[in-house]
Amino acid sequence: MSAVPAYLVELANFLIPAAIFALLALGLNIQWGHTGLFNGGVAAFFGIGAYTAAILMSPFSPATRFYPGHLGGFSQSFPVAAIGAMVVAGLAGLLIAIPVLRLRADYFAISTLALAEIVRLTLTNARSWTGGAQGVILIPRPFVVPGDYPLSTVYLAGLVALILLLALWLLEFLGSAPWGRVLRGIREDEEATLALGKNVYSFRLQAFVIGCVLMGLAGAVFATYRGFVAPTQFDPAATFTIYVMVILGGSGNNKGVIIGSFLFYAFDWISVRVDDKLPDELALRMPYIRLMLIGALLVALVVYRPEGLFRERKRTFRAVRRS
Amino acid sequence: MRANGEPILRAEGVVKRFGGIRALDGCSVEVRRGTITGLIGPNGAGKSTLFNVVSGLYVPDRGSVFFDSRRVDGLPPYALVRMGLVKTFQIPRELRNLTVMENLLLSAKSIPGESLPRFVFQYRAGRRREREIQAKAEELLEFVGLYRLRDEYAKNLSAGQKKLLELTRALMSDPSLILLDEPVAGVNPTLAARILDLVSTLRDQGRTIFLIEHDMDVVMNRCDWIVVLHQGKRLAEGAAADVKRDERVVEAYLGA
Repeated sequence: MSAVPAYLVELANFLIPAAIFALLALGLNIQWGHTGLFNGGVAAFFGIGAYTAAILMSPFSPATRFYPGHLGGFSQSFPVAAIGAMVVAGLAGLLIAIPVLRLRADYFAISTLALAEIVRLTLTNARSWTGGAQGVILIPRPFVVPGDYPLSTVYLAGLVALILLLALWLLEFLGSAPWGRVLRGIREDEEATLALGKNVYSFRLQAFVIGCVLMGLAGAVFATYRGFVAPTQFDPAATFTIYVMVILGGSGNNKGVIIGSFLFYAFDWISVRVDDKLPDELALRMPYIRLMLIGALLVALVVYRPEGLFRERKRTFRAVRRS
Repeated sequence: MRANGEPILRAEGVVKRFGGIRALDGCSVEVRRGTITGLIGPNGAGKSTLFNVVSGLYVPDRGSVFFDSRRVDGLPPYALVRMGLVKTFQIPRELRNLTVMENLLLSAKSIPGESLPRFVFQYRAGRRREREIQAKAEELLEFVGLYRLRDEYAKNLSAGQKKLLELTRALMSDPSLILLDEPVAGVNPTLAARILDLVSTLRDQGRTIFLIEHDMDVVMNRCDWIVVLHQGKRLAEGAAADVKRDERVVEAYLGA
């Protein structure tokens, strides 16, 4: 019997997925919100991070008649897995970005979307490495309290909250740098920023890779929280959910996109719980009604409040000269 | 005549093709140091293309460009800005959702905080440099009369103010050669006069100005030297009075 009150576990089970979305949204915010890079492959970097962490953390699992097995048997701790996930997702971002970041914005979006599909198909078909459609199973959690699974969930929630705050702090710090100013300049007008003497390609590359690293980290948290990863969890269309969160919260505003992610997930969370209380006929239709509502929300946002709930902060300067 | 200095900019036999069109067709132009040099010619003569080649936005198909006696064609724009060559756009390209001050700060060069490792590990030096360029930006804003708009989003400026911002931004990198693409087109006469006075002041400070302009009063009264382009080639050059009398120029551009 767990010593943890049920509401705390419930809260932890809300907080962790919401924070995973928030990490993805932060990663997308530095790419799209700050630099104007349309990354259509958020799901790919999320999936790469999740699988990397899964393979690093899980114990050896041999192929059997019912399971194709997967790479691994490394049994590493969560911090090692998280760093591994960030490195691999960042490298993947770098590799895809070097050739396609020179393309025009729309081609860049299509290329990254294609990447997401390639990653999903690879995860499904490289069966002896990834466990195929069954995925990687038996991923452990940090802070396992023997016999008290709910308590380990609460601990994990604390860790995830800490990771999220750290990521927010880091992004705010980097965004306050002249470096962040160049990113925002590129978002506003790439060619003008180039003519003003900035190496636009290099800045875009940096922003893109940093965003991918955050998405990889989100993947690592996801893998350890869920305990298994499978290709269906990284549906390329999921990328657009993250866009809705960023636009809802306020593109370019880090705190805003975190709030946007939490609000969006809260909507999801509540609507799933409402399902149980509805008559069967309506409950069956709920997933589609939910999608319709999200679509309507997105349209309403873009029309009536394109800057999102929290607009990007205006940066003003106190005069340094006395005139 | 001022136009006796050595050339700061030299383009030789520059060819730039777009599909089947030769926007520049063996174009050779010189700009002498310390002058206001005007570039004129009918629409489609290749003026803007020449500016884009010289400033590094386009790579020429053939020919070469020398700036400060160094060959620069094919170099990226940021390398040229570092060397002291900067260009403004014909239609102002203000960074809309950045403030006027941010537009200027972004346009300075040698900013340590634009490199993340240096921002973190040389934090104090970075802050010092930021204060320096901010002081410079404030000074320039007062000079051009945009100081009270420093915290305004650039998108909220009037068309004329945007032109002025475009020019002020170019000055932030302390250039020795400034390319101005129609600096007073569409600007009211009062502001136009102010911009042109500013351009003369810059020349008197020892900078070189190379400008495209269609307003013949401006070109004839303000430019020390005039280069005429026609069909991607240099048609003529000289002081205002000589160019005005050149029959080929009259026929191709000025009209009777």
